[in-house]
Amino acid sequence: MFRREKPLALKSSASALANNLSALITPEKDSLNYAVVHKAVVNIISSTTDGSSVTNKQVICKEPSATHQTTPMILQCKWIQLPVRTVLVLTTLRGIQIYEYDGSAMIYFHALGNVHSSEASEYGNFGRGISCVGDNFLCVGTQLGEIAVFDIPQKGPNINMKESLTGHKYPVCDLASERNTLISSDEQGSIILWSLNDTSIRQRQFIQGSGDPCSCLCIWKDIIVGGFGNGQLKVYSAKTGRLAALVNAHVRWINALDIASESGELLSVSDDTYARIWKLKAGENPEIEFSFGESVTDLQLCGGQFVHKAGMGFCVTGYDSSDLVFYLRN
Amino acid sequence: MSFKTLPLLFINLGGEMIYILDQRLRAQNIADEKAKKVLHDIIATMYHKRFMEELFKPQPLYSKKAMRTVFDRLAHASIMRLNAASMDKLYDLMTMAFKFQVSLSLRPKDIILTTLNHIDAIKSLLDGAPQVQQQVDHVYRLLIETFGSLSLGEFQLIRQTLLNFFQDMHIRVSIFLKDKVQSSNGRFVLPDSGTLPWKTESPGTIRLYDASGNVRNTSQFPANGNFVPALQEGSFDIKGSRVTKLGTNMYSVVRTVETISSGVQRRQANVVSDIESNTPDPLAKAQLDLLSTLIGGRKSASKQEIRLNLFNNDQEEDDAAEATMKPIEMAESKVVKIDASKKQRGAELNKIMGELNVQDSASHDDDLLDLMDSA
Repeated sequence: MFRREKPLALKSSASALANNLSALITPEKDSLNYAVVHKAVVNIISSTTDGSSVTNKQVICKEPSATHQTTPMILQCKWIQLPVRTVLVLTTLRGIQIYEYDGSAMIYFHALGNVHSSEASEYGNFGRGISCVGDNFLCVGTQLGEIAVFDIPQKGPNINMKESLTGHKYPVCDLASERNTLISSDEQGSIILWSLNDTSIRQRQFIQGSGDPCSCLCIWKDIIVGGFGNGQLKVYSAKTGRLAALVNAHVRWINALDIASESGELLSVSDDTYARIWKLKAGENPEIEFSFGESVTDLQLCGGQFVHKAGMGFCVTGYDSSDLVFYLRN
Repeated sequence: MSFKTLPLLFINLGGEMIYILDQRLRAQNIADEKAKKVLHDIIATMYHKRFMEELFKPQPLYSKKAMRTVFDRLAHASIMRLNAASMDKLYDLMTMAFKFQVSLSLRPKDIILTTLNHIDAIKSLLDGAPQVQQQVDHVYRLLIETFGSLSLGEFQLIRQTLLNFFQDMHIRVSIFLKDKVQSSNGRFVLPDSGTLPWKTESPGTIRLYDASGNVRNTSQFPANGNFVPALQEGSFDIKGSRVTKLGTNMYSVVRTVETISSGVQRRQANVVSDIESNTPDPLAKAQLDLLSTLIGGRKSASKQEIRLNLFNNDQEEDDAAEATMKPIEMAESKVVKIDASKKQRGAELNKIMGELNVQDSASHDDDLLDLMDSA
């Protein structure tokens, strides 16, 4: 159903991290952008939709810090498309960095953890899980289980931290959102649904985890899909919080999920080298069907994104490889 | 990055080092007593109580360079001496072996089982050295205290930290190539069937649930590959069964092991990103100093040195290098990137080139053949 295409080469290899690929697909601007983390660097590839022009760029992460000499390390990078503005967000061991969408300038840095402490165990509070809700709220999960909410202005660096949502007792793994619903998952596998009303975000539902971390998460038409450390996909109804389907999808850690919004297709990628495509069916009892699977030989896949809203193609990244591997529908 | 990763990296690399030294000491027919003494001395330094306790404190990983320096010093903590080429090879083998074990472990938690395999094996080498055995037991206790009750999420973070430490190292190792677990581009072969991780179900089943939580439909999809469930979870007990073979001695069967690395590959493996090499590592430095003092104390004891060699003979090494030079060039050419725009990089490359030259000349050096001279 899908055939493998020629890969694009990143400037350096992808690090072993969950959700290690972000795509900014803007066909109206004739531009496809991909961002992949290599240690303390984000490699960005921008290409025109016909692939005739490809440019490489790097965002090098530096941490404003007086006390610590440690090497910065990025845990996740993701483009966030708010109705008002698109930004590139990086989370690191010690903070959250917000850049202009093209990575040209850092517009905001938010330190996490106790910046004055020299004890490694105390200042550790990484950010992980990036999403947005409403017109202007950027949300980022942290190691302490909180979700930091930022108010993003249309222009300029005047970003304010609005609040910190508490509810998770374990480090946050991933965030996702649809309209006014925000969902978050943690290392215990618990998922929380949050609702935005006007400007306040409230916890709506808590789905208790079973101990296996839920490392990636997505939501589409009130269907929540979580990818877990034990290789399972769990499908929940966002309306009731009820488990609708359980899939033994992979045999290793699932590292990334993505949904093609027009076709309702789900992509899952895992350490087991497999990328699989599933079909979701919305409704009272959400359903999931298998539609395609292929192994990318000897590659522990750590990122996967559709490059088309109708699921006409997708791309994946793998640990230790600088290839951005593409698959297009036959 | 997990701040608990350093002791695991150190113990496992150290374990691999002991395996290799043990095998080479035997291959070179070093007298039993002497070989034992060498291993005991190195293990005693490696597992020194104060040094280990420092390592177990939460901290970032050392840079690649600092880690290498630690092992350079450790390797010379006994009467045994290694030349630069042999040390390079020893370190390459150690790192690739542990990278293999981390890459192939079924689940992140298995890294502890791999570590315990190394500790078990080291203890078995310590006949007649009860004091050193006690040191190792102490480390076992530290290990269980620190890692015994970590969550799966924390183990995953440790695994990611380790993998990122080994990122871009693609040295080819003959034992792996022969066993077909590494392919010619330096990547490990990831099996698409075999034993499943503990508590992971066979792939291929989709269960749908109704409103009251009952299964209303079960279907199958083709998952490719034959999987068998794990029968038993590996044990953290002091004498328990680790189940996994990762981390056990792969040199116990006598066979020679080579690393095959061309200049191109070596350059790639050694290029440290600018930020890494720019960052001084105060903690690592302090601990290196501590290690130096520990080793310094032993120096006086050394009278008769043993020269150990990681190559069978220099002809063999030359042949291997020549034979593999071309295919590697082709396979790797699309990956090698030398960014001349970075001012640091130039100096770094020159330095590495310098090291390469040394290595080349070393391989023609007669020293390499005089294995038995001082033994």
